[in-house]
Amino acid sequence: MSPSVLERYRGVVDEWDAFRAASVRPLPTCLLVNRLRTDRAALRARLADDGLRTRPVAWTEEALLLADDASPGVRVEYLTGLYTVQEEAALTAVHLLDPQPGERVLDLCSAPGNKTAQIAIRMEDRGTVVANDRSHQRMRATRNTLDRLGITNVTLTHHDGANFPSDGGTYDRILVDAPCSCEGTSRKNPDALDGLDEASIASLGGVQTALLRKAFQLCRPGGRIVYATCTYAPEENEAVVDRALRGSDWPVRLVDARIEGFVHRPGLTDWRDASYRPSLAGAMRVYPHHNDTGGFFVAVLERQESA
Amino acid sequence: MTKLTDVLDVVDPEPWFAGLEERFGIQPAAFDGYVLHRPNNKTLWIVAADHEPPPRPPNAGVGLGFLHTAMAVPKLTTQAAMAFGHHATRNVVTLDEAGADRYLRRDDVTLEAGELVDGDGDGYVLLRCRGLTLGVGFLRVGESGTGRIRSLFPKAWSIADSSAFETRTWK
Repeated sequence: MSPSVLERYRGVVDEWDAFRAASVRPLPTCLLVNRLRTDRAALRARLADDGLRTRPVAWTEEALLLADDASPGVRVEYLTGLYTVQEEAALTAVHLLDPQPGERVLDLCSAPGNKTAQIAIRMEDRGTVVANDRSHQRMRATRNTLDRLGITNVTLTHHDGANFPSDGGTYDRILVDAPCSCEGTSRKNPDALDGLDEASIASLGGVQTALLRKAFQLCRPGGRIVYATCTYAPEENEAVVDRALRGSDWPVRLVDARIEGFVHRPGLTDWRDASYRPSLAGAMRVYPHHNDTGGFFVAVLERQESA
Repeated sequence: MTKLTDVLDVVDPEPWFAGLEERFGIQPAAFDGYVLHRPNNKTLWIVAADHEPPPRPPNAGVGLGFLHTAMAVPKLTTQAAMAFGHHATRNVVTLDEAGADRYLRRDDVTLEAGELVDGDGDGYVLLRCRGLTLGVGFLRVGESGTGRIRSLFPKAWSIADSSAFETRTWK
């Protein structure tokens, strides 16, 4: 593991030594409860019967932290779809998307499907989720997850998200969980930072911006868009949102991303020699040492009524 | 807005639900709020009735695989068995943890006389453990009420040498 790429965030991240130490510690296992099939208390009781200690995630009813090292992927409760494994920080994107039963929701970059599942469960398996991914191979993971959890309100599509057809209707809510450099996943995958450099980080911005602009287009007026990554790089986060808004043909505004009980830092309004619109301070930066999670970024946007 | 029937080949579910009621005692009302559609010659899929799939791009699956129909007797998929199996009242075999581990490893499970109650002989059965439906097996009844169940748990989901019921003890 070569955490040197993180050095570029010295001066941005507070409590630097705590950040660096947390970035290499193993990540606690977080379980997303399939509330179509059980509830959190009942799942806790089942796991406790086998001696597995858990504690509830404070800010959402839908998740449990496994207190002990265990094999969550071979347990009967996993195999029969009572839960799936999803990192706590990654749960924030769908929490802020806030999908409702019966709505029409697009998950533009859905593989491996845990956020798709979280959306579908929050919608009580009603209405329409369209789960798209460019990669046929990676969509198999999504298929497996949805099958195990027994979800019936999802249509899968394989398409380049940035060129997703616009004649298939608009959406109430759209998640853009963009492909990124994944710096924030170093606790789960110690190799995540290997080979990352300034050039590889800079190379992703074009696709990320195109995906977000597509979401602007496909969102109904009054609808919500969430842009999320699991990386710290402002080039993939604030810069993408700022650029997408600057050239947008559609009226979209940033709204504050806040979750009570979950520590975060505001989005950046300047980085190196770039500056971004002040409303980007309303975005959410998640660092590993604040909530004992991975790293994450979320921006929440609303499509406004056309002028 | 696109309707389900514009994009999907929605089928009359009644004969399929009747077959599931006959074998497993699952009441058709268990499927209220869903429709069945046929994406290909071999399977039926189940989807939320208010779902509206987009006409484009072409879909790679709408809803959940439900029933394999190109067989002598239609077979419920594992994912459908897990989702709806709790409604079943007949041809259900409750396994202990050791039996469930065998099933989840795709090993055969043998039944002693009397272990299959409310059963109708050879055919598909649902396997349960700790109140959870694990999936589907194929039962062959042997002599004097014993039986042997072939595990139809999907290979991709099966466990290897581990147990699905690993316990921890804390001092």
